[in-house]
Amino acid sequence: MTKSKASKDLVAASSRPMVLSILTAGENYGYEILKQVWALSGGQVQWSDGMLYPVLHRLERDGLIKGRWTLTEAGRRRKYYRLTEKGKRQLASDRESWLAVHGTLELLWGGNRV
Amino acid sequence: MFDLDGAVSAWRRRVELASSLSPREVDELEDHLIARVDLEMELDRSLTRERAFRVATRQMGEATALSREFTKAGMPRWRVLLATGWAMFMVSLFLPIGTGRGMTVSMAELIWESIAMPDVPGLVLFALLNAPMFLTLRTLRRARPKGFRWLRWPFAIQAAGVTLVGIANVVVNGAVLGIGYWGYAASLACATLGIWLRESRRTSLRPLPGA
Repeated sequence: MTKSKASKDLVAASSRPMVLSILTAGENYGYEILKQVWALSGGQVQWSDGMLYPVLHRLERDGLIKGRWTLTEAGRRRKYYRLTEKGKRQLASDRESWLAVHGTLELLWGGNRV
Repeated sequence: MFDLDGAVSAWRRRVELASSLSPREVDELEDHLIARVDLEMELDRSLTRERAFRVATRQMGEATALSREFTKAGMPRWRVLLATGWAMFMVSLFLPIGTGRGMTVSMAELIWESIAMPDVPGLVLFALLNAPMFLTLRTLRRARPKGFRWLRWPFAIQAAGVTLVGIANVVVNGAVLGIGYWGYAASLACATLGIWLRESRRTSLRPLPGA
């Protein structure tokens, strides 16, 4: 069976809960977040390199995550993000919505309607 | 021998010139690009550093496309303030600068009269007084316009000066100035805030602490 990649709309819609969920494990930076999404989805959810940062910046502007700049061992600047209290609440609400959608689709597809 | 640091610096300059991304945003992309180069070399050990860099930059996308993606996420606050300042500045030109008799004239009318007369010193004075504002036009588009840093000081002084003159007029002369004047003062204050905020995002252009 060939694996199909998630559509652009689905990828965009799921970006917020995905980023927030990854950050529940602790603070992280852009590239590592991108790699985790790719690895966890088995390559089915592919974010473009340029798409991730606008998403992170929007979440930061909305107060759902907070960034801080650090210096890497190589002396480069790196921005780490962590989840805020508001972000945790948003994630709980997103989780509820996505589980409701997932549950509905499971029932529909489980009943062999498709 | 391929110089990765040099290539990354050249890429950075290209992105800064071709996009409206702030240096902080480019910092983040630069860190990502270098991590990408390492990953490409890890995935394909036959890749040279130069080839891995080319693959990584292609993955990152063109500067204009990157800029578009960032724009979708919303305008940065400094640019919102600067754009608001400009909008207020343009509107204030057409509003009366005074409230008393003979003072309901707008700045646009005064400029028009200066052109018609022609009053060269008056026009030069207007251009000089508003030079900082006109210079910010470039900053609305570019990430790193040259000679930007010094602009915040004349701007702050001008905004404070215009506001103080307005207040002094009310206190000393009892003359309440018109909406055009206060709109002009507010537009300068707004643009000043935008420029100072923009400056706070430029820290990446200074040497790193301890680097």
